[in-house]
Amino acid sequence: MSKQIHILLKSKDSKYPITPTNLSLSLSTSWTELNQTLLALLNELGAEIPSLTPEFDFLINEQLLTSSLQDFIATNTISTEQLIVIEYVDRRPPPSQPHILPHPDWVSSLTLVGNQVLTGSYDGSVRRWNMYSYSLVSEYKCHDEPITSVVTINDNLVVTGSSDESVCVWQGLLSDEPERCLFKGFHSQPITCLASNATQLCSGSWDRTVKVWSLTTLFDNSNLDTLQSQTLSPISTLEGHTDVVSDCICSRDTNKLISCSWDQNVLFWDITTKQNVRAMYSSKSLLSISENVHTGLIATGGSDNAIRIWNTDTDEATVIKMILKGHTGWVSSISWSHKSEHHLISGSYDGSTKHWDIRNNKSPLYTVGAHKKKLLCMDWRDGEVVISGGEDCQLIVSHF
Amino acid sequence: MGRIIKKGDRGIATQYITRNQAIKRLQVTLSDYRKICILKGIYPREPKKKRHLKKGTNKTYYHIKDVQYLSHEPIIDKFREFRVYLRRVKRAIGRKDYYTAHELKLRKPTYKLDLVIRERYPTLQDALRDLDDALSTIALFSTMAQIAGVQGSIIHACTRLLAEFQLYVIETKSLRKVFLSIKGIYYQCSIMGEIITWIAPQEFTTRRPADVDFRLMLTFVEFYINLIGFVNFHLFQKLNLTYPPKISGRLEAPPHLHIHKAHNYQFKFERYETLDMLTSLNHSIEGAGTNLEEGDDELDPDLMSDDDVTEEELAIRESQKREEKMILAQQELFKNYFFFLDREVSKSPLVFCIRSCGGSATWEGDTRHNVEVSDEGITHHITDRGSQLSHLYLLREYIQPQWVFDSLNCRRCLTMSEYRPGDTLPPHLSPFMQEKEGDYIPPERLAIIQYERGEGGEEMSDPDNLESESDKDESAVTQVESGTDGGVKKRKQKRKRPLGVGQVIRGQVENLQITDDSLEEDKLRAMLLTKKKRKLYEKLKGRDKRHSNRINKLRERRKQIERKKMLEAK
Repeated sequence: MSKQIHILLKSKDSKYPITPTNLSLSLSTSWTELNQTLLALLNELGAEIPSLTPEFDFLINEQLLTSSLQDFIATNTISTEQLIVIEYVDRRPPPSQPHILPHPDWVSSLTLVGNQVLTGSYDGSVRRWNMYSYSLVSEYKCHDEPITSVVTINDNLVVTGSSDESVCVWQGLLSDEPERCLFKGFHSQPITCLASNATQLCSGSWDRTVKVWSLTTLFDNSNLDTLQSQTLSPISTLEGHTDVVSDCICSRDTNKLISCSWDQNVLFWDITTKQNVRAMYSSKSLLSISENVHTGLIATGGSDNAIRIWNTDTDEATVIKMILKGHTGWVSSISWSHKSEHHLISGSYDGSTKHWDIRNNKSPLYTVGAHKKKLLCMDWRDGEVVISGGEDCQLIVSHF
Repeated sequence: MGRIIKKGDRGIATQYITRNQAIKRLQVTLSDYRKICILKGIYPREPKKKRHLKKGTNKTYYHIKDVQYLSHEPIIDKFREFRVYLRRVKRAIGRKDYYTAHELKLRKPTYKLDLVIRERYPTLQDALRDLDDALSTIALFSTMAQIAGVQGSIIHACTRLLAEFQLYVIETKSLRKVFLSIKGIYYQCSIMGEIITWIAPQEFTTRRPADVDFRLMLTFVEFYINLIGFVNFHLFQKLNLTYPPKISGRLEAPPHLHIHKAHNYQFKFERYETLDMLTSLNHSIEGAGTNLEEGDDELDPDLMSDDDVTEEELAIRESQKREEKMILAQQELFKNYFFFLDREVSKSPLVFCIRSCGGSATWEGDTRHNVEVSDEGITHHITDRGSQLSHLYLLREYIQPQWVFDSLNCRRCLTMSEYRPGDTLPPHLSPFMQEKEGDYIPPERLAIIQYERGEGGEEMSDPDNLESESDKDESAVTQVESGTDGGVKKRKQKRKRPLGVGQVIRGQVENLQITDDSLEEDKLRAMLLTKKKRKLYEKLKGRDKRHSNRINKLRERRKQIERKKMLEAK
């Protein structure tokens, strides 16, 4: 007879009824037993259970339960004398069987647009795929050199960055209209990354700068139809990195831009003053960056195979909130969920993608093996789809 | 025929300029020139042949390249701006145009030193290497009273920066040595492999000395404040902490209290960081100990498992391992100890040392631990007052402050019997002494050295020690000696004594003693030397002789003291 503990199961989700009574459980209860107990309890209360065999994740003190209760209590030094409140949430399903879409060359970047996905490839072409019917919708050769980055501005305009040092704004890549390059901007070295929001576009490059291009001129311009490869000049060139700018993002604070670089730093830029307003120093080169739209936490993937979660709140006492380890290759892309503030997904040169819940920093939720070679780009829409492309010339689509 | 070369056109004459020339060239005032030299780290140079310069031998010279380097400094422009600003303010006040004067004061030109610091210290390691003077100066100014010329804000900044640095040392447990002297308290710590030594003044009120140029000192302080600010920032960043560090204002339960009782102590204070809390050094930093980054300085396993290593390397490795072990022991020295500091002992050095060795400390009016003097968890009571204590608690040790410092230096907890309140204390030995062979080493220091060499394993079997048992008078003094006169005598004694059965003396290569013949020979050889070399030779010999005389005197003195003690004991 092992030791008994008192627990209270509750959920923040309104679809589950409130469980009023405290339960007494054995300390050695495992996750499966806890799940069964909860299912029985919910059946008793007559709750509507969405699927046939639902699975739950359990949270104690905002920490995800991964092992048995006993281990959790031992590692987190929770008093067994008191009532333990356990919150349950729907367990995230793993992605389904992946679907492979072959390319003639490396897939270096991709972006999700509605139910379509745009991919930029090393053969210089941008391809549009339907991610439900897995069919190639259109293909257009935009550059002679490899494309390194593709983003969309709205449902009409697409921007490509290429190794030929140019940033091009395209019309017609997302529709059936004839493709046409409207604007062209130049760096002095190949482009590595692009990011855009409603008002501006920014690009990072091997020339160690981030350039910000204004989009307002594009929208104000009434005669878009007549433009042909007009040269665009940047509204600002942000200099501060001492090595290749590997990734940049437009912050949720619209006036801010965040970039990370091989020089191991994350820099925050104020767009209006064109100044570097804040810096965070890592000890390893950084390859990818993503900002949580809910909490503002920044996640970076680096060359030490680890993911760092940074505190951006200056009131916090520590700089790095946590380090997620598990990948066996450099973390080439990273992305927070837009739905939930706790989930992120990372893709690495080891070819796999990992799903993380930051309430459990010990292990990923899932590891999905995807590519035979390096994974170069990855994007996801939480609860819908995960797409990744890599050096094995494949685009892999898996739905949840 | 070539061009005739005039004197002063080439060579050393063109390499150096006097200070006045430099000032003229840079078009700054003397005080500004001094300031810029300090900030940029430019010192006067001593030309090899001053008389070739034809500008006088009693002048200060600067290298021409140094002056050229200074001329590119943007701060010089700022100095000029400041001069103009002063002139404008003065004129405005003279015209009784107070509005303009006020407006001008709001736009007082300032300058930043960050680029200068980055230029002088490109990496953190460079800065750490050069931190000794900076810390000493900051420590000096932090104890200074606010006097004319030394603003309160400067003293405040010095106090804060020093406390932050000390907190870093506490957090990383990198304090290695401490020595109390009349001049002040010497501390030595090891940060990222760099040894940093600084001196902090004793906790007395300081008077302003008349012969110190404070304007000059303040320039140094200004630079050092910036430097240590940068260093602290990087050090805390390395610990994954934000800078300035957040001091946890929570009243913590003393370490021995049971966890349930501790709930009563969790009065959460308002989270503001007062200077008092920082300078008490007794508060921990919020988020400390959560360094997620792994250290890169792990030893390479390939290197360690290498088979073909020489014996020398093995010995070095052995000593390194021993050293590492000792350091670990030092870091955990006062673990589980809870010290109570009596009112009259100086707190800051004690708290710094105790917490750097893993202990915790409290005193009356402490803002961290809410405990009374009578608390049962207190294991040590540090007092200076001897037998005047009103009440003695049985569960704790009563010791004098010196025990803490001596234990830290010895890297083990010394026996407390010699440090009881009211007792005459054993000598406080400097851990910074680097004894050479033939130096006088007091027996107390010798014991420490032996302990550090591995419990004195080798030393004990040394023939010198065997001998010492027989004649006690000599024991203390003749342990570490070499070819001096004393050594000759000792060797003769040793030869006389027959070996006991089974007694082993390790074979040693004996230094060939200088016999009278060879001394004679030396004298003759010295006569053959040139005058210059002979003088040098004599100088060296004289120095050696003085040194050995001094040592003999010290030994004699020690002998007398020992004898006196023996008599008293009888």
